[in-house]
Amino acid sequence: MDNNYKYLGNFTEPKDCPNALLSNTLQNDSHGNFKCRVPLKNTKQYFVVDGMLKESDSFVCSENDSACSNDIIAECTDFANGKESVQREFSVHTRLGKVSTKLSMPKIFREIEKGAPLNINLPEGKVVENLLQIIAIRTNPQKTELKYDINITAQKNSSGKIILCSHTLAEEKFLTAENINIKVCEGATLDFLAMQNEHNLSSHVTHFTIEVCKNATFHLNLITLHGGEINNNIETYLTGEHANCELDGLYLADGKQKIKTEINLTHKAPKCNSLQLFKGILGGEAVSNFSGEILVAPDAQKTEAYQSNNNLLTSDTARATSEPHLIIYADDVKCSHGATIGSLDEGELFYMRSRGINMDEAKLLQQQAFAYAVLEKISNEELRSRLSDLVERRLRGEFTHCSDCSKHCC
Amino acid sequence: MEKLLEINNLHATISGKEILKGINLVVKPGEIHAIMGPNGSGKSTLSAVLAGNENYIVTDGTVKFMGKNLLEMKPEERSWAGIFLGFQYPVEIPGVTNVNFMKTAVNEHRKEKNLPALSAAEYLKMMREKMAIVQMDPSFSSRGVNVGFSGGEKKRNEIFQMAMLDPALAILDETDSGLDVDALRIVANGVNKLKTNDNAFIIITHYQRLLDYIIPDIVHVLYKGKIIKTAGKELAHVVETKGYDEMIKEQEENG
Repeated sequence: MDNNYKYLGNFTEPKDCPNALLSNTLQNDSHGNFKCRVPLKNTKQYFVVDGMLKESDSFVCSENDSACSNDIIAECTDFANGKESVQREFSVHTRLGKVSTKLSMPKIFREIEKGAPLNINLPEGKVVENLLQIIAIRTNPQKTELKYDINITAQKNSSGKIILCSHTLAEEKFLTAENINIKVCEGATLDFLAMQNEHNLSSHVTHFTIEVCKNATFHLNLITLHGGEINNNIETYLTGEHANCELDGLYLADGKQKIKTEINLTHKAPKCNSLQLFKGILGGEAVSNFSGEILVAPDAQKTEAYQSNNNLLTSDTARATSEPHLIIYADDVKCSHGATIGSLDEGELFYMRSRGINMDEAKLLQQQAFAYAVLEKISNEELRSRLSDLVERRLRGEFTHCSDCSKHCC
Repeated sequence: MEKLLEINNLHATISGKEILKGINLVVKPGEIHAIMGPNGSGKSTLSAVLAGNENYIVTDGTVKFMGKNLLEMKPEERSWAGIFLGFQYPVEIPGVTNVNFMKTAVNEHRKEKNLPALSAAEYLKMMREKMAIVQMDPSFSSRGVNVGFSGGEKKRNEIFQMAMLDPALAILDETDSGLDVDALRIVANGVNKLKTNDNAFIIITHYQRLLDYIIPDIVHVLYKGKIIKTAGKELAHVVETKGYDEMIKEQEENG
């Protein structure tokens, strides 16, 4: 096994190092099933294993089984019949010229095997109370390169909450390229949380194409806990009046990890709001590139668009670049951006140490506090506390699996 | 009586500039010392050096705390040993709640004493008791450390933290600055409630008014990095009425 293959980080010295032994199968808990019990009782789960949707009844769902068998809403179409959306190719290459460090992912441009798309449709007017959880797992060592689509449509006046967890369950060098196409139709509300927790050899490229229509609201929480090379492209269009869009992200990287975040947010219609908050904690020799563009079209008057990117470097060798771009063609708008790259605050550290909190613990508290601004935006309290817990353990250099998950993948 | 703190010929610099130029001070259990002095005399530097602020470099002298060499200890070790610094400008830590901050601190102290960590219920009970000492609203516990606190609330929070950590020696650096009369009385009452025959206080202040509420046993005047005068509590009244000029002149005449 490659020495680089570890889930353990070095933000702080690992205190708890269980053997990170992972099997290649999904048969692992006492029932012989993969299990992920998010803390919400009525969660409906979909497993996408190496790009194929598994019927949820072949897995243990959450405690409330009735939630697994009701009328919603996901289907997995064959590739041949699957809906192809327009935004197929990654736009990474168009931006590489702007980015100063080399985050090369040459493989991504090759044709790689494509999994069947997962389609999720929230019917018109329906308020989906159940949390929908998509658990995307890479596990097959024979299938290390994979591309798949997740298409989500929140029809007119519908509302729903979706989480997507991406994990690797085997030690291969997985390359995953996913297209996530989201359309939030008129008057609809969609909360989307993506949690990326893979190992150091994984490369993960996610391209979001998001359309937020008239009077619709979309909220993205993108929590990147771990991964070798993570590349998140978020292309967002606000296409109808009073569309509301909030994009929040937290990325944690240490060792030799690389994280690239690229946002292109376009205000096409007037009177829309957008708010972005992306924060990163970088240790070891990690590299982060953030590039965020807000484009306001000529007739998108009364636009309010704000973007903020803050990076905390916990080592001398970590690097971060941050490039905000505002391109504004309308003349009656409120737009701003802010970017910071800083290190731990000496004054805060001394204050905490003077109260008897040792240096490691003080640094940890400071990093948690830094991450908190993003975590507090997670609207569901139980999910927020679960994610906060995972972030804390990640920063402690512990094995960041959910405590009650039999697979110990995340 | 045993000495709690013994400072001998302490010299310290910051950014190459010498601020403390030979401090001598002995503090015994049960005593309240007040250190007064004009701006720039080194009062805050002394408190920072005692708490272990690494921006200050000790160039000469010794400091013993309960017989141990204090200068060799890290700030957190000094806290565990029983030193507490009440900050003149308490630091805001957004995102770290008061409850999380103090619970971590209290449990680190307990770990050091080989005591088990407090349960959530035990901690809450203790926190409520100590908050009452400075009439702090329990809702403060869920707020970020000092974030959005008024000047008075920040100082009350310092005294609350002191109550939680129960130090042998508390150094209060201009705890009275920025306080209105009511807040001053609350803070002073807090200190008086926490005072025992086994602990000691060093109160650093510009003004006598705090010393109307916290009666010192010994008052020192610090000037240009040295203690130029030491006397009983009446010295604070002399400072208040006559200022420092006369003492400084006297000091300079004596060489």
